[in-house]
Amino acid sequence: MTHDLREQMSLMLDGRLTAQERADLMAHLATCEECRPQWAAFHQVDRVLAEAARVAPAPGFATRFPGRLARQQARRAAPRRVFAGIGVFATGAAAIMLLAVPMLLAVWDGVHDLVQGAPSLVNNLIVGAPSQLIYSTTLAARWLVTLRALGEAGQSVVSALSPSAGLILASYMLVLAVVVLAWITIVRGVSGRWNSTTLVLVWL
Amino acid sequence: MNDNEPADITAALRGNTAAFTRLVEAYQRPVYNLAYRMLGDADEAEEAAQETFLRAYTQLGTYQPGRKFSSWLFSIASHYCIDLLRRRRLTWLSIEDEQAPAEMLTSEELGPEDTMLEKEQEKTVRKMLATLPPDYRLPVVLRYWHNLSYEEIAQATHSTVSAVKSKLFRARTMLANQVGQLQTSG
Repeated sequence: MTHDLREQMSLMLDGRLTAQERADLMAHLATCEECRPQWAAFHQVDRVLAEAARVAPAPGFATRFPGRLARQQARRAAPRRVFAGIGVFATGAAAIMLLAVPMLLAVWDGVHDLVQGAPSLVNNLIVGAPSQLIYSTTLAARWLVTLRALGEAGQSVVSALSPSAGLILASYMLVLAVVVLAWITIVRGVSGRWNSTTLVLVWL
Repeated sequence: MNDNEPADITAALRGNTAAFTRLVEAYQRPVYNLAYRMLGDADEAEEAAQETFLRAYTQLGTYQPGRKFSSWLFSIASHYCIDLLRRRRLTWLSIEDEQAPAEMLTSEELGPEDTMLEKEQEKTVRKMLATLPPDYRLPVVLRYWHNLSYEEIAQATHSTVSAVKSKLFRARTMLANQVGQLQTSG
């Protein structure tokens, strides 16, 4: 009758059998021609593995760890710097646009005056041009008409705001100051301290 | 575990990297040994062991004080090594591949013949482990090189005692079928 006691042998190697179970197994192994070679092979595996050396890392393993940890932390901080950079750009762009608003309004106002004062120029461009230039002149005329409309809209906005121009101007300056302060804060947060680069950026 | 370990762990939780480095010094050998026996290559074992400690540092808040710190480290190292081996889609290392052997902790009193014998035995052990699938290799490594009980192996590998018992038995069966051939082939 065949039987397989290898699982019991494995448990015995790990000390998982009771004293009685161990004694019974050893008694069986002493007489069983089928199980003895299996036990010999298991015992040989156990001996080889049990006698195997423990290995050591290369010298300096622990001293290499802090540098590696610092590199990992730096890598994790990189995305935050990207977002901070975007914040710097966005607030800087907002500040520049706010500063440009008065200038843009002045330009629109000037363009409106120019277009308003030269209607004959526009009409002559459309009517007097040779036939082969009609398309290009018509396109140019349409741009001029569009600019005139924008100028008129800007003129209307300025006119509507003029009664409370002082309040509007103060609010505008306040918003501009907040945006610039936010930009300075983000720049300083990214650079970590006041240095020549930060000062140049602030001055700009 | 040394007497300062709880204090070092507490300090490391507060961001004290020097305290955690002391833990690295204390456990570098067992963690490295596990990684080396799993991966079979000294350079990869260095990488795996360093990564284990990095993960332990970032996950230190999940460590339960009532648990052996070494078992917790073994759990992290085990999962890293198993994941690495699975990503390579290798179920076992190729015996023919050149791998960088690790430095063995041999006695300085050994003579040249004994050293050669140890190197041959080490070669046999590496070949034996290389024949085992990672899921079988891991409990063997934890049992023979770290003297963990079935319960500790089950905890480190997020498994059950029954599964550990079965895997050790199957690993021994596989190795028993090959050990004679491996030793004669050298």
